[in-house]
Amino acid sequence: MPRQTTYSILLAGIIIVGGLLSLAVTPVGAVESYGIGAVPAHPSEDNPRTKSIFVYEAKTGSVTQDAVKLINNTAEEHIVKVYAVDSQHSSDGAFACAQAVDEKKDVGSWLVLEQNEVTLPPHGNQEVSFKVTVPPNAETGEHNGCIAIEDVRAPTQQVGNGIVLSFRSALRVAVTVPGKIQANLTFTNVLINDDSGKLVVSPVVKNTGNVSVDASVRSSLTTVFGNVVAESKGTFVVLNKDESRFNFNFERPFWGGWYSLQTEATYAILKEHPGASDMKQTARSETRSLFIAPNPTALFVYISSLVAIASVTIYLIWQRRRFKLMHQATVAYDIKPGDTLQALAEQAGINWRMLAKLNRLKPPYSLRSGQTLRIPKRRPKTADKSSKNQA
Amino acid sequence: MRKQIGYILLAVASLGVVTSLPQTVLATNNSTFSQTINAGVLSTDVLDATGATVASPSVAMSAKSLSFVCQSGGAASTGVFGANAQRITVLNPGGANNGWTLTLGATAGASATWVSGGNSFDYNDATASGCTDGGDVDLRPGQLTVDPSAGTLTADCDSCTTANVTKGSSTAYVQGTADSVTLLNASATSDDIWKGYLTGATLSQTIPAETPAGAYTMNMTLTATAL
Repeated sequence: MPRQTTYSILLAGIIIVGGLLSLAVTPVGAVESYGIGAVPAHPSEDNPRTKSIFVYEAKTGSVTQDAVKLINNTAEEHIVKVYAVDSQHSSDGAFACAQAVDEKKDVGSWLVLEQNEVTLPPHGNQEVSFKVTVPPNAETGEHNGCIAIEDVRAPTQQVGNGIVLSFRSALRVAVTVPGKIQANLTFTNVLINDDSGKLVVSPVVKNTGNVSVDASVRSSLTTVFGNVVAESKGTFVVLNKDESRFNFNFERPFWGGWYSLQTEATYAILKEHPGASDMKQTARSETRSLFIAPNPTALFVYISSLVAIASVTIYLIWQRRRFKLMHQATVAYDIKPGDTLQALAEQAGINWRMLAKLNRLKPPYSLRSGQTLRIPKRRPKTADKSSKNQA
Repeated sequence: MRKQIGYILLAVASLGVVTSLPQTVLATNNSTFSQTINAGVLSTDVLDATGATVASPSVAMSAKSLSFVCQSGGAASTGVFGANAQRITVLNPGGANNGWTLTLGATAGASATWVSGGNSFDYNDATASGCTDGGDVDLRPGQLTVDPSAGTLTADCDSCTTANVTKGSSTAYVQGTADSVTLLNASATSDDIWKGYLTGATLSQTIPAETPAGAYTMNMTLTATAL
């Protein structure tokens, strides 16, 4: 075989092996995901919300069947506990799930899972079926609970004093018992925390209805001229018969000053609730006026400007007063040939510009014979000095 | 010889070109590629600064001496929830698109207590700010306050921000009224794919007068809930 052919074959071989190797070591479309959790196994096409949580409309006495998909996005096998609990109002009115040991009175007691412990293989998943049975005496409106998923791992050993942490993720289960559905939001307060260099505005809103709403809450700071200088907003779940507080961090206006704070919440009953309408309602808080301290740099600019303005004002007043005094202490002098402004000013012991100003002379400050100027009287001391000099 | 070296260099260069090309799947018509990519799920954990899970996450509280007076306010036992090496992390790779909350509650519920051997004291007794025992079943008062607003929230992914994720207010546990403290509340308008962490939230526990010496612990559960 000719040597050149051998090299060509060798070349081709290396290219092919290299190409295959590169395919082998590079993951194809790898997606990095984390943790252990769950999603609804059979979300409804009509309601995108059901991709994340369970939403049911269920009459009293009815039984709804569904399933939760437990997912292990880690590289290790995990044994997980899965259980139902009631919902709980957390601080600031946020949604939380009660603990596994807490007594179940609401959706937590209505929901029964087929399994309570599942072994999930690495990057594996498993569906667990459950039934939701609404008791005959359930009140009209929304009831909430959770399906919680907790990794069963050896408890942490705390050395010394402190808190030992466990972790779980949970999915909200919202069950609405049909009937007269209503939601009504009102602002009960707008708290302003302007301490420690941060400006935190916390609107507090109450939902007196029997279903939760997604409220788009917006707080804005406006100047006295009505232009918005800072705004913060978000869409939050406001649970039924609950008060929610939202903490908005505001950019502190650089120049400080007086501002108006306006807050409003726009909401509608969620469309998954029976009898819901798309009509949005808006609740508004009372407009609050607040003074915001300026930024230290702005404060420096303010003080510097005030000092500068005060200095200029004092100088102008002083000048005006001096001019006035001078004007009062003047004598009329008729210009003779050969007189110059400079010479007359020197004789009077003042600057020639002052003399020109005193007589409202304009450039080029030429004097004509017969013209009358007001010339300050020489002070006695100066006059003495002058006569001494003459002597 | 030079020619041979030239060929070898050419081969190596070709190999380099092939490996640096954008990845394409070279498959014949009858090849089947199969893989399962799980849906992203909302979860929470404590991660260190490198992003690795902390094996034994815990929150140490400052040691106090036995006192004949209640140690509250500035004299209370304090701790930092979410040190830089123990970041309270939330991972939401698209599992909760309508918002989520991160809350902290005692694993044993409203009747939980700090325990050291046979001794215990309360974490949710509001009477006299935790200095006087209320009408609950435990015998020693005490109250734990969590202040997430003192902490720092950091987004930890390329395309997400902390916008529309708010920190909770400073809250003291009160039995039956405040059994859960909101650390973070993500609105529906927050980024659907989000990863971030909270550091520097503060804890303050009122220590009742004449609490026997010991290393007290309490189990708490951090819950990330899809809304």
